[in-house]
Amino acid sequence: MAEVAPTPRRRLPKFGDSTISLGLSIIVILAMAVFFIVPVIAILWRSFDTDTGIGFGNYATALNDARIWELVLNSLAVSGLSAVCAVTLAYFYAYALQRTNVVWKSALRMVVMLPLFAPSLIQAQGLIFLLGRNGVFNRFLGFDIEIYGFWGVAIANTLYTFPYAFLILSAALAVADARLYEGAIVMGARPWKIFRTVTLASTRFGIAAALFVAFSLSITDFGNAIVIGGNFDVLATEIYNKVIGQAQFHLGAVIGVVLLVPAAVSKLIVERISKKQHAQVTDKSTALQIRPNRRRDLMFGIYVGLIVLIFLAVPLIVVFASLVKLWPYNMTFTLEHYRFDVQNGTEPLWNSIGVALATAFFGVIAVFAAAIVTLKFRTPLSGPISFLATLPASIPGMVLGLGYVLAFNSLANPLNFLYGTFPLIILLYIYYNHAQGYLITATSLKQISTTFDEASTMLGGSALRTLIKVTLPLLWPTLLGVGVFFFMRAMVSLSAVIFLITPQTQVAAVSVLQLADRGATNQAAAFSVCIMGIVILMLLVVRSVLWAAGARGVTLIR
Amino acid sequence: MDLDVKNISKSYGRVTALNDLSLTIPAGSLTCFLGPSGCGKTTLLRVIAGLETPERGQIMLGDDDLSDTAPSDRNFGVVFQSYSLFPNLTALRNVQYGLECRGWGRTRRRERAEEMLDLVHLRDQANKLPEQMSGGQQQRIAIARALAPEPSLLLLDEPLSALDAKVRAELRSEIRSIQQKFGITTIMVTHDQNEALEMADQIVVLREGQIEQVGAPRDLYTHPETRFVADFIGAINLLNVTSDAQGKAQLGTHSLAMTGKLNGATTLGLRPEAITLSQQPIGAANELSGVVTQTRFMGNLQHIEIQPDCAPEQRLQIEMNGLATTPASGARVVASFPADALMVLR
Repeated sequence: MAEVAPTPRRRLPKFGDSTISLGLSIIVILAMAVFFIVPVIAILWRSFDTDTGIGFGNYATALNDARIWELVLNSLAVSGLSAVCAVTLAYFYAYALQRTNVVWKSALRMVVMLPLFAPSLIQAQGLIFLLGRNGVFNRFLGFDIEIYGFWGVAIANTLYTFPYAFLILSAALAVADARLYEGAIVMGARPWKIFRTVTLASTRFGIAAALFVAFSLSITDFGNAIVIGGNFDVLATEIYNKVIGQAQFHLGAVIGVVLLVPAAVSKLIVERISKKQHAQVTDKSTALQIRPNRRRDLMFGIYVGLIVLIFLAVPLIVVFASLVKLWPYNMTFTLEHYRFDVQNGTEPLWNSIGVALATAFFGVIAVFAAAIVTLKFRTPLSGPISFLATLPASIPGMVLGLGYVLAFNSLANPLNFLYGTFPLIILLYIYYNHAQGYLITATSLKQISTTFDEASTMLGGSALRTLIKVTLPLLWPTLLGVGVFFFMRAMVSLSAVIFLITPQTQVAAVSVLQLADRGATNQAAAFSVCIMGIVILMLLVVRSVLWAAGARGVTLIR
Repeated sequence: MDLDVKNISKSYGRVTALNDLSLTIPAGSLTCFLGPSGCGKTTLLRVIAGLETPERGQIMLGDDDLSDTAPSDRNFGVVFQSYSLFPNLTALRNVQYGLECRGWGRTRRRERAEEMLDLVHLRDQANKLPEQMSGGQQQRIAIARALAPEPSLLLLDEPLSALDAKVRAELRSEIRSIQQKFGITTIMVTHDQNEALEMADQIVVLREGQIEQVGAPRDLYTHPETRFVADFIGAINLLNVTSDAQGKAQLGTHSLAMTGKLNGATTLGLRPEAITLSQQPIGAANELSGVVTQTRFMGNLQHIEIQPDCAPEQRLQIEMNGLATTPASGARVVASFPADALMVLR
């Protein structure tokens, strides 16, 4: 039979979904390139750019200076010490909350989170009021403590990194396989031996991760070191001195690159560690029951009490100092510092609120778009985007901030008009915190089963309709949480924006630093208190919105 | 319109999920894809739906080539194993979803959705959220949702396997009666042979990405072509036979009478219920004497295992209905079965 089969009618796909996904992917990756890759390249390029052309000249100059080695040593020593202290203290604190019957656990948890709500130099501020030359201990209790310098920075950074270490360790201690403990008890192990062989062993990855996180936070932190460091300089303060003080951008860039190394290395190590940790607990594990033991509870109760005292003392002394006329000479109660009759008045505060709200709004859009194009609309760009989306976590804020200056201050950059404006500060905050926001969003998005997308597609829904009708309604509590995270970071972080601030674009966290620098400690304290108040208010508002909407289990504090 | 699957191949990396597979689903029929896990049945369903893109081959609905049509434009209804109702929408809104996508007007949409809820007897649950309903109810809503936009094909991906036994039995007959009422061409993926036997017009047995056998449930049961199909659908005795000088099947030392030809096959199938037990020969075409090695009481059924004298390596499973008195272990019996009970298997 030579019958010719009728040519089948071919139905062509409608113009739509794939175009939208590709378009969105391109926008996302372009934004990442312009606001993240270009600044990082700018700082690298600048560090190699010498008077005699491209070369290692700047590095040679910087590394031949004995001072830089002293700074490296200072940075490593102070960050190493505070990381070890923070992790040790946080481990036992987390242990008390997860494995003993101490009371008021949720309040205990909140108290140590306080540093996250405050500008990142409040520890130094509080320590000076407590232990400084005019502090409570020296002036009123007859001590003779010299806090400025190595020890001040070490203590301040210990307090500053404690909550981050605590969150990691608390998560590590929360999961435990009761069978291991029962096995150890049955074999006759004593409590101390059980702690060493089971508890410590099963949380070793968490400890390592917490150490690296605390270390990289410390070494890249700038606010505490500049306030309480005195003549003790570290790498982070040196960048500031080089750039702001001496306008030596190329040397600042070199130190920035040097600072990039420990931060990036510890980031890589943390990632490898967290990959290993997953197999620790299987679906066969049984949850651990906390056994009653009054002596243990009493001991840990005293310990957490002491920690709480320290964590309350710092913000409370700042609040107190903001309410007295002139610390420590005139301790009469006054609200005058809250009138903010300093150069810009309350303007920096309002600026900060505006910037933080905008960062929250656009930051959520940016990370949501990145998560959508990597997980839902698969395109050839999905892989590169997901890699780039988590990269900012390894870049210290100061380095990225300096990169912004170098990239956008250049007249060759078509986006030069952004320089010295709020939008650029907002973009910096968004891309500085992009990795964490992205990870939170992506994790939640992964938990929304792909069969919802498939069901919607088969019912004739376009990708956009699925997004609006199904994905967003399921994801909004998480996105709100991410928004709070961006808001909080934009309110409190200092190091990222320090180079972008102009008199017209002042933000509150920088005001605190400048006021403290000028010796207006009471006004600086009042600013800090306002920032803390705004962040806490925001947390309360969002928490009640979530509660009213019935969305439980959304973590707001990260 | 018939659905034609033509030369579909699909692989995941090195693993071949579907290997040059062709098949016709007759219009208005319910076809079951049956096979063990990993045989490619779900992949085939997803290729037909358009959720997976095959490397080669075509999907034809009547004269239309759907191969390049986006899944959202194919107008197929799908019911998933995990229900997949949108958790943020009520039952009624879930059912209306496909109609919204097609731009139906508000009143028409609502009427159609209510009609569909009536069909699955859940009108009273219209305003409940999925989490407030039982698994069986959710799956009914999912069926109503899939049917509401009047799809040209209904695809069911193991729709019953997440449900408990009683609900599963109810839904089997309900799905079948809805399917027959609308005369909608339906494909159902299952690994449960009873489900397939009860519901299907046509069963496609899949194995390692290829079709093992296609046929009506009764044909597959009575005339399985391969050991795999015979073993997968129902219980069967597989007899290892040799061919004697005349080309007749030989079980150990005994010649078997059969209707077909061996044609080089070495396995014969014999259903347990085709065998009669007696103490003396009864004059059947095949009679094997042997010893009872085991008996099992199963309530409505009794299983007896015997060891035939002619082939001591072989065991024969026999099934007896009701509470008939059975021979005890060690008793000597004769197992009889007709010539046409023996099936030649590849």
